[in-house]
Amino acid sequence: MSQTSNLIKIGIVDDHKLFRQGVTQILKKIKHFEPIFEADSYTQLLTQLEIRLPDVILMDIQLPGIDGIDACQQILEKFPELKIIALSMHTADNFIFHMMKAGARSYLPKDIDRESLREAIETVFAEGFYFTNYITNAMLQGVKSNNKQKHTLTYNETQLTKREKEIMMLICNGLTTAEIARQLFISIRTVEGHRKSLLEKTGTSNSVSLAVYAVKSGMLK
Amino acid sequence: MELIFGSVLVMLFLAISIVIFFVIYQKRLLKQQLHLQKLQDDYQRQLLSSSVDAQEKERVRIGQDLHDEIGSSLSAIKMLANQLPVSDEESGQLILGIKDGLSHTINDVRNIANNLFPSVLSKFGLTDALKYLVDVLSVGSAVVISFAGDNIPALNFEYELAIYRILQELINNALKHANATNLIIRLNQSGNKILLLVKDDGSGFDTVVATDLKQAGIGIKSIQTRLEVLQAQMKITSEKNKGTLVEISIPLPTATKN
Repeated sequence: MSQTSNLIKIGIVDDHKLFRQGVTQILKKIKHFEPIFEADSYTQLLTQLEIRLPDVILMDIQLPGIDGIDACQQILEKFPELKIIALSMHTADNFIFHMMKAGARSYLPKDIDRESLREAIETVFAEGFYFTNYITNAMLQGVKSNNKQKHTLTYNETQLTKREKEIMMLICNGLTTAEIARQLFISIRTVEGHRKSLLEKTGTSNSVSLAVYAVKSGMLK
Repeated sequence: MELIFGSVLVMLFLAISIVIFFVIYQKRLLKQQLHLQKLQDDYQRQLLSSSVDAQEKERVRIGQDLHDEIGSSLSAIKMLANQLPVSDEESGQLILGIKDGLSHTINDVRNIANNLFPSVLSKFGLTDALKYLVDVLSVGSAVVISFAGDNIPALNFEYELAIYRILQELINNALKHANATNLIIRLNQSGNKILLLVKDDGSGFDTVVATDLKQAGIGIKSIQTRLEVLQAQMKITSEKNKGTLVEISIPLPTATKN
C-alpha cells in the first residue's frame, strides 16, 4: 500500500494523562505512525491545531467544559479535512450515532487492543472511515428511531430548495462534486455552494451525516 | 315590662353574637390547622426532596468519576499490558489473565457507573435512557424485557431522573425476585400525567406486606420516597403465581415549578 509508506500524523485529545500516555506509547511503536501532539482539553487542541494539522485525531467524547459531540462539530467546521476518531468509555448507541453524525470517522472503545487501533487508524487514513459492527448497529438504530439529541435544532424539508434536494440525492448516491456538476450542467463552484448551504441548513458536517439526515427526514428511501 | 323585654332582647342578641363568634372562630381555627397541615406536608416533602437531591448529586459525582477516571485508567493499563513482551508460555498466560481481568473490571465499572449516573439520560432524555437500560439488562438475562414509550417532551433532569430511578428499581426487583419469563415496561403520557407500567408474569407476592413501610425492603422504600416527592400514586396488583402489575401515575411538573 502506498499510503502506509507515508507517516500518519496523529493527535490525541483526552483529559486523562495516563490514557494519553498509554496511547502515545502504542502509537510510537508502530512504524508509520507519528504521534505529533497530546492535548488535555478542547482549548489546548485548538492551540495545537493552529501550529500543525495531524491526519487523524483520537478524541475522547468527554472533555472538560465541552461536550465531545459539539467539540467534534466545531473542529470540523474550522478544519473540515481532519479525520476524527472517537475513543470513549461510552458504549450506548446514542453516543456512537450522534458522534458519527457530528462527523467522526470511527468510534472505538477505550480499552481497544493495539492491533484494532492500528487497523482503525490506517483504514480511516486511507479510506476515510472505519466501521465496526457496533457502529453499524448504532447507526441503524439511530436512523430508525428518529433519534434526536436534546436541544438540537432540526430543519424541515421545505427550507431546502429544489436544486438543493436534487444535489442532496446525488451526494447520497455517492457522486463527487465534479460528477454532480457534469450531470446537472452547472459549474463545480456552484455545486460547492449548494453543498455548503445544504450542510448549513441540515446542520450536518459532511456527506455521511447529510445522507443520515436524508434517510431520517424521509427524503431518501 | 319594657325594661325586662329590652334586657332579654339585649341578652338574646349577645348570646347570638357569642354563638356566631364561636362558629366563625372555629372555622378559622380549622382553616388555620389545615393550612398548617399543608405547610407541614410541603415542608416534609421539601425535606424529602432535598435529601433525595443530595443523595442523587453524590451518586452523579461518584458515577461520573468512576466512569471517566477509573474507566480511563483501567483502559490505559490494559493498553500497557498489551505491550508486555511475551517471552515464554507462562508469561503469555499471565498477560492474557491480566488483560481478561481488566476487561471484566472495565465492564463492571461501566455498569456500576451507569447505575449511579445514567449518562444517556442526561444527554438524550428519558425514553432513550430506558431503552439503553433495557438493552443492558437484557444482555445475559433469561427474562425477555420489552419497553415501549411515548416520546415524552423533555422535562427537567431531576424529574426525569426520579422517574428513571423508580423504573430502575421496579425492573431490578422484578428481575431479582419475580422469577418471571416476560417483563413489560411502558412509559406513557396522558394529559398532564405520566403513566408508568411494569408488568411481569412471575411468582407474585403479598401486596400488603410489600407496601407496609415497616416490613418493606430498601427498594420499595426508596420508590415510595420518590413517589411522595413527585406527589404520585402507585397501585400494585399481585397474586401468588399470577405475576405482578405495578401502575404509577405522576403529575407533570407545573409550569411554575422550575
